[in-house]
Amino acid sequence: MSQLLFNGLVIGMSYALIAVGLTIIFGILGIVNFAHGEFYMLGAYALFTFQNMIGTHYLVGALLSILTIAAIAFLIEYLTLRPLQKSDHLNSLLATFALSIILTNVVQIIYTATPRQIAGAFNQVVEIGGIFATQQKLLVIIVSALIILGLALFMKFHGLGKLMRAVSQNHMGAMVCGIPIKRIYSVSFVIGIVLSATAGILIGPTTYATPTMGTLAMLKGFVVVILGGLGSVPGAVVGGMILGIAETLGSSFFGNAWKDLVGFVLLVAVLLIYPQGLFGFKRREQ
Amino acid sequence: MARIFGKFKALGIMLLVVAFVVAGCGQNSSSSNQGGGGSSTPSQNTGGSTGSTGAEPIKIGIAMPVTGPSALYGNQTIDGSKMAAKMINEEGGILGGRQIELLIEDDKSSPEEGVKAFTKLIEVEKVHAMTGGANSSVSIAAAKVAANRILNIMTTAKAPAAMDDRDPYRFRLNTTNDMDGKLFHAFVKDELKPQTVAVLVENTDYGQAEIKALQTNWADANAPKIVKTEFFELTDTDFTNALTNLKAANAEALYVVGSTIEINSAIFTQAAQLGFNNLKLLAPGQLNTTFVELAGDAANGVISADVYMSLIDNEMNKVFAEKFRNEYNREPGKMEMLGFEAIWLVAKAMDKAGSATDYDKIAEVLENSEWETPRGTVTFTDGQAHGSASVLTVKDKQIVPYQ
Repeated sequence: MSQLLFNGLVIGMSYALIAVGLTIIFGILGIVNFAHGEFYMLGAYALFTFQNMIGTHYLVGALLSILTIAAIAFLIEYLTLRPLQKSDHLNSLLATFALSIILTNVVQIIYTATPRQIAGAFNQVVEIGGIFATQQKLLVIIVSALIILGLALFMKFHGLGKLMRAVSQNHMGAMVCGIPIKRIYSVSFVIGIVLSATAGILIGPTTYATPTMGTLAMLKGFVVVILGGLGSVPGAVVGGMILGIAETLGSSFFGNAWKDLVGFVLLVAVLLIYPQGLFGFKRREQ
Repeated sequence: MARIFGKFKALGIMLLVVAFVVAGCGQNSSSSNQGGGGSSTPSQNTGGSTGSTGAEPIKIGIAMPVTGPSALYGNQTIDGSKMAAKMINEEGGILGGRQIELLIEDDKSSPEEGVKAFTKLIEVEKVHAMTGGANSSVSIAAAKVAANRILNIMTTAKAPAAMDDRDPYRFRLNTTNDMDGKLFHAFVKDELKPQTVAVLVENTDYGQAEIKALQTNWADANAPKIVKTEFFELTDTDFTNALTNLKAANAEALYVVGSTIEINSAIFTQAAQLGFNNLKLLAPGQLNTTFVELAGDAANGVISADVYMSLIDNEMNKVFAEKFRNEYNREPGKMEMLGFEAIWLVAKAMDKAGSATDYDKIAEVLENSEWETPRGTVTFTDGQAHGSASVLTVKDKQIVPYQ
């Protein structure tokens, strides 16, 4: 049982990371990022390139991957999303959808669809009180927790974090106050994407990478974001943990084949009963 | 007027989104179907040229997973096929100097793509014979396209159902779960004797067939008891949950049924990470040098069985293995051997029958002759190939016969 909870914790943390990124992008830019899962996938592939193809150590590879993807995210926001900010939100949605298709297929052309093993440097098995954990899984938990904590402190106390919160609460009001909205959009998008990519970098070594691994990650991300409330960071974290543990317990009761169903059943239930999510609030019309 | 226009615009956008979803939903659907070449022709062509003798080449179609979860197996098999075409063409071809030309299409381990690949090769490229089909589910779907119209050699599919409703031109080279089971399941029951077994199996035709075979072969009282079964999807990458559940069942042995090298190696690696230290059994036909390479230490001690390994001692294999090693710089495995067999048997049968298109005659020749291939002597009964097999294990990261 404790092994199950631990498994759920590991998965839950990665879901939380992905969902927090998704919710930040939605809360601040007002964009539903359909390509979010693809950046999770890109994170894993970037790590694969640096660590397995070029041969750097996992930590160096991870850092380089994050920097690379941050740069890509910045370019994408600047070139494709910013021009669409003025038009209908539906355009941005379609743009991210197109982006997800493009990214999946570009990766497939370059790396082929054959699964890629990304063994990390932390493969030692550790036994703690009957629970078997690999160092990589412990890393997932610790690093995710640190990142989320860091993000929370940043949003609460740092100037830029406060500006981000202001924009998410009221676009118009923030612009009227003279807040540099375009810069905030840029920073928020990059942060959101980097969170997703980091999840990919952390989880990648526990398994292998395929070009379509982002689809399921994104769907789970959406489930968590809706569960926790669109635009709410604490909601995303709590939602992620709930989904991770529910899935693991569900797979234990109903069998592994039904594991993914748990999340979607939860999604439908939340939408029917409590649509604004656990921590959600009604958004003001933009 | 503006309001009506607005509604049409919304409808148009909705249809566009639906079209995107439908197009994007087929995983891997928009990638090119070439294995690697950069030419503009859609199918990959290899083999002899038409120019040398002026005679029309014999075109043999290969529908295999070039990309996707079974791509490693698919490409290994294709390498074997290419070897066969090369060897035959070097000998002078068949039917009076006609060279073998291989046309390869990617089925991406998906039944829909398999049907597309077969249709394209048969109707557009007009091949003389079809081979291929790594995954049983794909073979079963694609066989309907070939039924009663063209020679179809199912190369690596294992599920018995692939030969259901068999048409006279359909042959199958790989062993079925039942056939493997006869040897391997009996061996586990009589020699290894674990009291309890936990099974982790893929949720496909192949996986289901293996479960049935296990249940049939282990039906009597002193056979191992299957205490827990967990399924996984071919798209899963994390097996921790399933393995945790299986570990809780405390069985003496773990029996893994997977058709993908990466999945099998990930399963045994993750099982080792979870502290599994029971008997490690892998479904027959899945022990592969790449599996051992990927799984590393977790592969040591895994027990399985197969019809072929590169060190088998017979004339044909000595030649085949040597040429393969020189060409590809690695040992040929079962997949390579089956790929070789498919093209070799098609060509030799056509030659013996004296025709590339008289399928009744070719099928009769295939069924009634004895063939020498790298795995030994092969005969066909109702289209199913029969050869010999042995139990194997992994020692110090090498595949060796089990002692």
